[in-house]
Amino acid sequence: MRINRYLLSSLPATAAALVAALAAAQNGFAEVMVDGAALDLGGTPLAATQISLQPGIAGPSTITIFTGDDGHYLLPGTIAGRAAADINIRAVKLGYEHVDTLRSITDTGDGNQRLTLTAVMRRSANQAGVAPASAWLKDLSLADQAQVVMACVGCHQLPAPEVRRYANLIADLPGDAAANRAAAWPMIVNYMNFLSAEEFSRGNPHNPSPEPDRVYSGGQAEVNGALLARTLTGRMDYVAGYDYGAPLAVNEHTVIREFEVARPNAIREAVMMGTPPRLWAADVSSNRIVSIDVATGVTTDFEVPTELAMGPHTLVPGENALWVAAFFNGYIARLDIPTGKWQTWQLHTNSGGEAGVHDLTFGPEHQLLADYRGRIWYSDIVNNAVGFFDPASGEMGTYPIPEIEGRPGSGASVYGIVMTSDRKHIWFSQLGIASFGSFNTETLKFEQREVLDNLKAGPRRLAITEDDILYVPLYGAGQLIAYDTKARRTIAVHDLPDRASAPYAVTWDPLRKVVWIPTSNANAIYRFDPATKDFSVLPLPREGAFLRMLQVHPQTGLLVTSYANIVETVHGPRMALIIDPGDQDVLAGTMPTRHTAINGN
Amino acid sequence: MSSGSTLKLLLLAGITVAAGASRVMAADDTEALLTARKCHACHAVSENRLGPSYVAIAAKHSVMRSDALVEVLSRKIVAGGGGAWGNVPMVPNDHVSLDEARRMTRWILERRPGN
Repeated sequence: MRINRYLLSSLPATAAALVAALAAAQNGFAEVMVDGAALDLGGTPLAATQISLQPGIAGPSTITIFTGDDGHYLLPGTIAGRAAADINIRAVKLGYEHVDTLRSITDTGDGNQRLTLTAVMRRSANQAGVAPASAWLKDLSLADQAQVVMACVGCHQLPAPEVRRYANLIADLPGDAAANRAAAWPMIVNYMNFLSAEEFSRGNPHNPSPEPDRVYSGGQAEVNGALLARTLTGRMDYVAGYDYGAPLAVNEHTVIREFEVARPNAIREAVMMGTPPRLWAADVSSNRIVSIDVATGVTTDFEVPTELAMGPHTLVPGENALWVAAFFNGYIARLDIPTGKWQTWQLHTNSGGEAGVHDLTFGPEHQLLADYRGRIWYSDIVNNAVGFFDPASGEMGTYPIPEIEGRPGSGASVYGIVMTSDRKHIWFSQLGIASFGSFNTETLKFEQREVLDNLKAGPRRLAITEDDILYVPLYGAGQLIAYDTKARRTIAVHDLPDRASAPYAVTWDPLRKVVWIPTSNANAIYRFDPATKDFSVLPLPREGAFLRMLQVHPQTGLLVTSYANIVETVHGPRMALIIDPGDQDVLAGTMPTRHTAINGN
Repeated sequence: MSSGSTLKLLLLAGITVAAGASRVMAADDTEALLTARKCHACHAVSENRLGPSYVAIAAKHSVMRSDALVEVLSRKIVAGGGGAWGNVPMVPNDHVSLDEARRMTRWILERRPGN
């Protein structure tokens, strides 16, 4: 399939070109074409090396491309308004250290310049700073991996750099190392619980202060502290032997564009919508949606109209509209993209309590899909229920999910929710009790229920295909379930390339007929091809690349996601991303190809 | 002002504190700064929590007060501790600037029982 994607490129590119011409005229800089290679110390070309252009390009904060099989790379387009001498790269490849950059500037004869930057890479067994957080967990048992992921990675990567620094402080203490760890780590779990409780208190005036000893540790600070004491041993500044676990899904055409949002913020999810397309990112630490011009990087805030402090959490694209769910006070907002006007709804349970909306029903296009009567269904993470509201009539209702013996509903954490193609069945997942099941929106009865043996499996946010195949990511277990909702049977359970990767969600890609799996702990997106059963890996160019949802932009096929570390004191990046995987047979160039330096700096 | 309005303001203030330190800085209120930087997760003025109380810290350092002490403690706030209070090191606080840490340290060293 080939898609005309100049829809996206034309207007932003024109604007960028005008800005670029102005900047070039003002600054007297030539336009610069950037290319180069990655070589090891023996001069051997290194394929699939990440090359991140530094810094200050208008539009994305950073552009990352990859070297091809011959070790060479070429930045798409040119850079205007910046001296070639001020342009630099950062090169990353697992097993190597970027030790030097060779620079060459030549005039191209048309008044412009060609900047060739060659990254010199030295083999290094120590992968610290290059490998993802999950690399530090690779030698743990699967049970310990799942426990660590379920207890900690819901808020931040484990071990994040801050965690590793703290492990070093413990390791450097005099005395009995094991006793020191046993004393210190439970205290840190309590500390993190407190921070999480603050984060989770936002937007809910009736429950402003969740119990600090229960958030994310589930009241098991001692258990999880002991787990960390047992697993995070010694100084943590050396890790070796990690590999991605599957071939890389990148080539010389792959482009990753990262858009940083000025702090303070807690960017949660991001999608791309509108004409021309813009990024829309939810900031759960304030009451706003941040809209980003992909050509210039200029942001515009859209304040959610509510008397409640809320924190927009979940974003679901709809027909020319962005649907927003709050964190988690039952407030739903709809932003009409063409007009910028809001509509809002306050959802209640049947007994008048607040609904705790987590997800709205997605269809195979990763867009809002209402049922056959036009009702929008949601997962209620607070009340262990599914519910609906009719945006036209205001009618609403909730249906508590039946309990599973031995697995209390109070810890169920209803998460993902999707709608089948007949728009009469919804499928939901329960993160906390390792279950997923279905509900009939016509009979209003619960139907199928699947209970996983592994209580820490962690079924999270779901995807469904046009043929009603359900995909379930197992956050704790690091697996992917393929499930036939018509036959009501599991087709297969696939091990992910990295079992400690913490797959947060899955997204069906109706253009490529593949599944994308954004991870929270592996700085990577996995690609699963149901036809071949093969996985491949799209590595991201940033430490702390804590992912949540991923959108396949329906008009262009570009992937859109975000870095979304929750806890403010874990200093992960807060960015929205646009990724062109580089599959040219599917996608033609869509993004602006002339990059403008910001203020000539 | 209605109770609802008060609640709303408190909530909004809470979010401001949690999300944006710069907004708190203008208030020139060291206690608010300590809260904004999450120090209250481990410390309180008079009671020991996960870490020692501010009063206990001030008492421990009551004999030797100097600019050097302020500097040492300030750097500890930013870089993390080494077990001066047992075998639980203080967490590093990269989100605290050294100037902020100095301000916090001076305020903490002035704490006395009952204030």
